Amino acid sequence: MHQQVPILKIDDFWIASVQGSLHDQDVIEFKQALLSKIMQPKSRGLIIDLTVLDVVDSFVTKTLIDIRGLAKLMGIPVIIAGMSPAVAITLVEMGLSLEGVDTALNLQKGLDKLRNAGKER
Amino acid sequence: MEQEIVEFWADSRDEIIGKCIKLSVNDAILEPGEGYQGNRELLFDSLWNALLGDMQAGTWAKTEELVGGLAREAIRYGRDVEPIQRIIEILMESSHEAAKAQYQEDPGKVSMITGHIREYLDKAMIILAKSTIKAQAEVIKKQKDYLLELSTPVMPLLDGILVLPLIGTIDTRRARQIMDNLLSGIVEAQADTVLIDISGVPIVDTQVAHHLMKTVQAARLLGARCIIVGIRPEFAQTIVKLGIDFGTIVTKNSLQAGLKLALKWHNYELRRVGGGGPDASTGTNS
Amino acid sequence: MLERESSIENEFDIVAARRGAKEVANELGFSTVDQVRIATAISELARNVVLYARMGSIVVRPFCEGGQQGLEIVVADKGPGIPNVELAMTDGYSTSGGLGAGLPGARRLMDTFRIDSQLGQGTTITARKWKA
Repeated sequence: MHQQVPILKIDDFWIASVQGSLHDQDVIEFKQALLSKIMQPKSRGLIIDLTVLDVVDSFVTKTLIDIRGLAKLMGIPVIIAGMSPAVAITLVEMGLSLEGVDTALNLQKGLDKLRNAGKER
Repeated sequence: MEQEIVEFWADSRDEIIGKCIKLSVNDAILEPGEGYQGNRELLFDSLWNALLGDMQAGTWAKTEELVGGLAREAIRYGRDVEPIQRIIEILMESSHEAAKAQYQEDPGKVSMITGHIREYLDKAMIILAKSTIKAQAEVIKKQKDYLLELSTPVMPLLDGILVLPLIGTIDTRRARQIMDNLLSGIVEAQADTVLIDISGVPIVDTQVAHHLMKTVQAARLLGARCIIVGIRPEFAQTIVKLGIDFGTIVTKNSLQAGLKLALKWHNYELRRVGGGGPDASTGTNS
Repeated sequence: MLERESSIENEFDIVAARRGAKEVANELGFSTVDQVRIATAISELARNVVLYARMGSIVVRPFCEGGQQGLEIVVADKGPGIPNVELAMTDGYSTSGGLGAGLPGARRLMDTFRIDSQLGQGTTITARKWKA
């Protein structure tokens, strides 16, 4: 059973809300889908919303870092939004602090950040 | 032999309890002991009864239940356990006297009976001591948890800005508590900025520095930025000496400086309206 | 009994195993953060089984020692074994192109962590988490 991660577009920003727990294959497909979206012309940013994701292990972390790295090459800012305290504590304890990855408390704040970043440029 | 002691104990109930009450009337320890005057007779009787039950069954269950319960109750309500100890002692004295009265002509028998009863009552004393220590440990643990809660307040200062004043020693346990409190505080207030004031932490060593960094990193993963304020020169030296990389962490020397930076991040401006200090505006003391 | 055993043969079993572990941890009264710690550790260990040994098993069970309650994880496989345990426990070391955070990360999430590995025989990892 594969889970689809809906990827929505607001203005020129892509928003992906990860639901429940993902199998490794889902994570790989999710990454491919995201990359193909942000490669479209006029893409101005990407928010990955983790609000309802209960476990983030090193595999998911690596995927997030990869996505951010590829997006950066294309000049697209990426924001991780809505991470839960339990997941944040676990990641930090594992030594995975996602240095350099931009974060926001929720989807709205993530969107505000992207819009502000756009204005400054 | 054992049967003889059980019989003596069972038959001399009224005599033993009677002597106990007489002995306890002017007792220096029992007299001021709150909560023991009214039910003193009941206490002697219950203890006598528990020992009888245990003597017959060859167990410690009843004594354990009674004495343990008394100790726990005393500790829970902050009372001394000395009166309970005294009650056991008086029961010993009384049974010794009762044995002496009953077997005047046979000192050997008196010492045999008294010896056995002493064994039982010594065991009751040990139960009392053990239960007291255990109950005290529980109380201390509860107080510690309570203090932990108290000692890590997360205070909302302005819309989106939290202050976390850290006071006292930070060990691993407390560091975890601080992290839990702060992160849930951030989510609750949807705060973007946290001022962590460490001027009240007496010793900032590698361990504490490490905990601080983890806390800042976890807060950042949620989407909140931290400013650490109140770093004393000794701590700054420690960081440099130990080669801890504080590179990505924002620090300010005082809470005021940190607050100014936080306000700037939030597009606030701190500005005095009108001239002079508080005296001038209220018009008093001039 | 709250004990659960699951076999690990593919990536779908990883998700099932961590969900099972989280349920056990929840029933034992572990805090939310501890539940996530345990589930994440399971995820790392189970993925190692799939990556390096192809198949194995995970047992999750409550234990009690010295009046303290806790949860024990035993992950066993009959794979090639770990040639250099010390190296495998080093942050950032990976032979699979991962972050190299799996084993050292899982160790930090648990209270005790023991690796028994023999080349060509397999690997058994026993890890425990005390209830705070």
